[in-house]
Amino acid sequence: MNNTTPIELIERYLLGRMSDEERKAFENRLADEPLLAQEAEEYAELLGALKAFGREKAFRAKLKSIHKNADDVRLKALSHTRTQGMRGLPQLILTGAVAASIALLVMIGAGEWILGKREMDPRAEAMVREMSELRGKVAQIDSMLLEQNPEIKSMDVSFGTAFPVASNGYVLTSYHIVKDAQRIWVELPGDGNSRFRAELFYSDPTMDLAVLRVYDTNFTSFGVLPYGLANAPSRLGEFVYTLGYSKQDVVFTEGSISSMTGFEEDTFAYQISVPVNPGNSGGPLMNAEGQILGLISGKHSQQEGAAFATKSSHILSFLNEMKSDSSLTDFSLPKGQTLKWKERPAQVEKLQELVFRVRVYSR
Amino acid sequence: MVVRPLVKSEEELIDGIRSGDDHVLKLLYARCYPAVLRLVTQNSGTETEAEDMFQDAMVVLHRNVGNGMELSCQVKTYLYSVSRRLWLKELSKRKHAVRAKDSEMFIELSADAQNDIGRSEKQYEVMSESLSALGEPCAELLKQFYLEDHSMTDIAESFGYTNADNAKNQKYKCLQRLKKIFFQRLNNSDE
Repeated sequence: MNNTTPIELIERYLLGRMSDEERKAFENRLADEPLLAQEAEEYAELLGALKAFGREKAFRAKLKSIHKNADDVRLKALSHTRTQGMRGLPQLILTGAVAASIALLVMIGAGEWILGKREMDPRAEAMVREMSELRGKVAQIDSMLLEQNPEIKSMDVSFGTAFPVASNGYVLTSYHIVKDAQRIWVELPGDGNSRFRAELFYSDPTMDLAVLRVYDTNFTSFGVLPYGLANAPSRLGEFVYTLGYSKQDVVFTEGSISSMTGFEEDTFAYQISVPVNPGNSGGPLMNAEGQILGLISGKHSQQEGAAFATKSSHILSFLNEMKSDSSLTDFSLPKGQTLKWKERPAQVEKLQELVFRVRVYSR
Repeated sequence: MVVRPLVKSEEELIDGIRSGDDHVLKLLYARCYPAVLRLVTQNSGTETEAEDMFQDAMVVLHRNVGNGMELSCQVKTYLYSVSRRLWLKELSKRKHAVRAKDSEMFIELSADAQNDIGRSEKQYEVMSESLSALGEPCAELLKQFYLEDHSMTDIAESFGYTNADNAKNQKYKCLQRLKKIFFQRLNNSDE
C-alpha cells in the first residue's frame, strides 16, 4: 500500500532522493496537477530559503570571528585613512547576470489534487458525531430550521462543539468538523433564541483549527468572555475538564494532562485522560482557574483513556495569523479572568452559555 | 596575529569564498576591507558600520558565487562596489547626501543586481524571524534535518521520540507550519 503523502513526495523530489523512475513518474504528475506543482514550487522556495539561511548564518559567524582576530588589518586600514584623497575614477557597468537561486518547476495541465488534504490516521479518530441514522428525528426537532432552509433536507447532518474567541461573533472549532460544510449553525440546545447562522471564516487544516463567524441578524454579542487562552504551557498532572456535545445535551467530563505531547508524540498537542466521544471535537479544554489550555481534537481509537487537545500556544499563533492575514481590526484575543474565583459548578454554569453545539449540513 | 597576504588567483579566491575557506576570507579581509573602512568613515559612517557593510558585501558575494554567478571584474572591485552601494543606500535612508568620496575603482551595480541583493536579504531576515516564530522543538528539528543532515533516527533519539516515524511526522507538521509563517511574513513585508 502506498501511504506516501504529497509533502513527503515533494520533499524526496526536492532533496533529490528519488530513483530515476520515481522522479519521472512524479514529474509527470507535476505536469498534470497544477495544484501539486504549485505546492512543490512553494516548498522549493521555502527549502531554498531555509538552506540559504543556514549557509549564510554559518558564513556570517565565520566572518565575525575573522574580524575579531584582525585588529592589525583594522589598524593598517586606519593609518591610511588620512593620507588618501579623493580621486576621480572611471565607472563601469556590471553586466554579469545573477543566476536565479532556485530552479522553478514547470506547471502545465489540470488536476484535482486538493492542497493540504491529508488522510487522517485511522487510529486518531476525529470526533464528529455523524447523525445520519438520526436524521429523521433531528429533522423533526428542527422543523422550523427545515422550513426556513428547505435545501438542508437532502443533506447529512453532523455535530461538534465550539466556543467564542471574541465577543463579536468569532467562534473556534476543529477544522475537521466543518471542512465539508454547506450550511453551519452554532446553537445552545434548548434555547430557541441562541441559534446563529455561521460561516467558515478562517482555517488551518494542518493544525485542525477553524474559526467560524456568526452572521445572523438576531446576533448581537456573546458578551464579555470570562476566559482567556493560557499563555504558559500546562503541567503534567494538571486537572482539566471540558464541555461538549457528545449527545444532544451538553456533557461535562474531567481528567488530567497525561502527557505533554499528543498522538505519536505530536508537540502541538497534549494527551489528556478526559473521556471524550464523537461530538466533543472543538470543545475547550479548561483548567481549574477557568483558563483555556487547549481545544479537544481527537482520541486514540486503540487505547483507552487517551484523548488529545491542541495546545493553547498554537491556538494563539493561529488566531494571530488570522488577524494579520485578514487584516481584522475588530478582533481581539479573549483575556477574561472572571472564572478564576468561581467554584467549578459556577464556572461550568457560566461556560454553558458559551460552549456551543456546531450543527453542520453537508452533501 | 599577522595576516600574510599570499598571492592567489581570482579563481582561487572565488572557490575559497564559495567553500568559506578561512585563509581566503582572511586574505580578502586584509586586501579589501581597508578601502571599505575608508569609504564609510570618510562618508559619515563609523568603523562598526564599515564592518557591517563589508560583511554584507562578503555575504552577497558568497551567495552569488554559490549560485554560479560569474564576476565581470576583480573580487576586490566587486566587494568594494557592493559595500559602496549598500552604504549609499544606508545614507539615503538617513536622508544624507548620497554622493560618496571614492578612493577606489568601482563598478555600478545594475538595477537587477541591486534588487537581487535586496530580495535575498529580505528572505534571510524573514526566514530568521519565521524560525523564531515557529518556536521549539520545531525550529531545531528542521535545522538538524535540513541544514545539518542528521538522520531521522538520530533526530528521533535526541528529541526523545519513540521512533523515526513519529519524528518524521512531526517534521512534516513543523515544515508545513514554517511554510505558512514564512510566506505570510514574506507577503506582508511586500506591502
